[in-house]
Amino acid sequence: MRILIVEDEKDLAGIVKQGLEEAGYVVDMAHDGEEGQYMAENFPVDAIVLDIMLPVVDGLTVLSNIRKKGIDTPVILLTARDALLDKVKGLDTGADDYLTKPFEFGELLARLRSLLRRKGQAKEAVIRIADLEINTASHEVTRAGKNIQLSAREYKLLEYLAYNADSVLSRTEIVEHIYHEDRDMDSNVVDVYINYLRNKVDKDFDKKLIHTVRGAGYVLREENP
Amino acid sequence: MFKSIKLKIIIWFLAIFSIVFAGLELFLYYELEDVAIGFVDDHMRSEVDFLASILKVEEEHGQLEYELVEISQAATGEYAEKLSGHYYQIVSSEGEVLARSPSLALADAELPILPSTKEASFQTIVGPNKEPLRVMTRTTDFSIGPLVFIAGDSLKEPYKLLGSFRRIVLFVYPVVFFVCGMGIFIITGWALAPLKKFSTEISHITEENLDERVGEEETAVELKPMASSFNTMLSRLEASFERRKQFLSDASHELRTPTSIIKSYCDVTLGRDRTPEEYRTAIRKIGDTVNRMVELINRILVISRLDAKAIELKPVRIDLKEVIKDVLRLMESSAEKREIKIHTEGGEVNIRGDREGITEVFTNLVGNAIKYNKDGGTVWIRTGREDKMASVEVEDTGIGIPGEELDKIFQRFYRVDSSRGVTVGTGLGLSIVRSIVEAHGGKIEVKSEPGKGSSFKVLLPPGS
Repeated sequence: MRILIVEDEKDLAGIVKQGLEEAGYVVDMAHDGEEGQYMAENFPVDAIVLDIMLPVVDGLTVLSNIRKKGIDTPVILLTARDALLDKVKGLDTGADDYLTKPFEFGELLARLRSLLRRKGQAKEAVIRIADLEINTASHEVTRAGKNIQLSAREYKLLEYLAYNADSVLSRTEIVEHIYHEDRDMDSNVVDVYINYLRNKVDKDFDKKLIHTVRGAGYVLREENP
Repeated sequence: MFKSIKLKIIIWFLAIFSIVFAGLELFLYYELEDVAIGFVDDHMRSEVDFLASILKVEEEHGQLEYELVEISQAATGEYAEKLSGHYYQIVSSEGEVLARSPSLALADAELPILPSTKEASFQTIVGPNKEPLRVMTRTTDFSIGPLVFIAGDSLKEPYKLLGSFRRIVLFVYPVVFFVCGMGIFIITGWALAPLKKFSTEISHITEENLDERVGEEETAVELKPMASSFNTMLSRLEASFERRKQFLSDASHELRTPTSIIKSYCDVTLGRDRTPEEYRTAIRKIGDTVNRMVELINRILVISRLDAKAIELKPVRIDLKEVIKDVLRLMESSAEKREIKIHTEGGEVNIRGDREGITEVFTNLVGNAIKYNKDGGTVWIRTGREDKMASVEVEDTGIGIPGEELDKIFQRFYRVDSSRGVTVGTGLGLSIVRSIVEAHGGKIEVKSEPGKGSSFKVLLPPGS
């Protein structure tokens, strides 16, 4: 999952980036409204953490601009103001959630997860596909009650597939959402990780969940016999 | 008790009313007395005239003695009735009573013999029937010598009249007093009603609805100036209240950013086990941020004290040149690090001012000149005199300030866009500078050209 942080306070942006990365997200950073808007429009991000008070272009303008362009990426507004009017204005402009500084980092993570689930139509922190259970809060994965140990990258890939269960994801899409823009990754890497995942998730079970769609990409779904 | 306008008006009115009313009544009473007694006097005068004229006629006929006897007996009406209150008596110059009206003779009473002249004289005495008696005496010459005519008329009737006048007045006075008192009570209440309404209106304005105003249109003409000055005061109060509220809200807003940095560092760092180096980095960052907060809090305190005029400026003789030397000593290292050259020009300039405050002013200005300068840039500091004011100009070769932002830089928490890669400060420095300069009776001017540099000029009143 790829998150864009738009925050002019570099120290804050830095530590939030670190925290989100440690929670398994890929993070992009922008330090003013203009840069933020550009990245929101051109990078395949899954959620945006947007400060309201930004230099050059303020956060609400950025939000209204990207919504006008039809980009419906979930947005959490981050602001130092807690006046009710600001919240109402922010939500009316198209924000999905609102956090007031200073915020609990755990709360930011929980709200992000909730937004990402909402995007994938899932309601709970645990995503279930057949007998596969993915706890997006604790990063625990079980299948038929059996614990499955995954590396950080494997987990990211599985989570991304699970959030978008039933939709086919191309290799490029997967690379963009799972790995950072800075690291120029060969899309063949996706095949490698899909293999690792299959070994851990599908191999010991009759029912296969990860499917290859020829010429299109991969999909995680429960196929009806 | 005498703080009440209404009571004052009522008391004053009733006091003046009482004096005027009492004066009028007294005047009328004495007028009436004069008229009533004058009436009695006239009656006696004509009686005496009548008696004298009869005696004169009889004297011509040589029948004076006879007539004197006749007068004593032949009277009719009131004079014939015993002690009727209407008397006359004629006395010889030796004091012998020659004739008495039957009203006296029947009771064998006499009127006192009072000194007499040819002119009629009047007196009030106690009569034979113990009644108040008006007495007239007059001397008329006859062949047998001067005769004294004494007439007396009871004052019972006029006194009765005056008595009833007094009674009427004594009854009417309190009634009129009460009615007028009530009237004035109602009138003052009515007259003071707009004032009451006005004060009710005022009392409804609290800090919650400072934007409300007293209706100037509906107010009575006499209260308009008050309403208008009250509204002016409200406007000023509201503006100052708004400024304070804004400042408080801005200040808490400014504190939220460093607080969230600290909080996020704590949350993220404690989220998992880390190497000592990672902990050190986090704690160092938290420490830096705390320093920033402390700086911010200090400045907020300075500003609110300057606002409340709680900072006492202790004016002493200061050489600005020396202050700048002190400031530069602190700034040298940060300037050297970025190879910024600092030139000072101009001679010593003395002012009277608060040393700490003035040092704060130039610490800020020179600090900004270094902070917003380009590496290898220059700062000029020129001291001198201008328009009888001491002037210090701090010029830099920094990023400059766009024209449209020039008038905003002294506003609290205003920062020129941080997107230009310059570490931002508290946004309070220049606001503090201006407050201090203005508290000294000076002013600050700024000129700037974006990309080339800025120049701040401080003008301060010279030391005496």
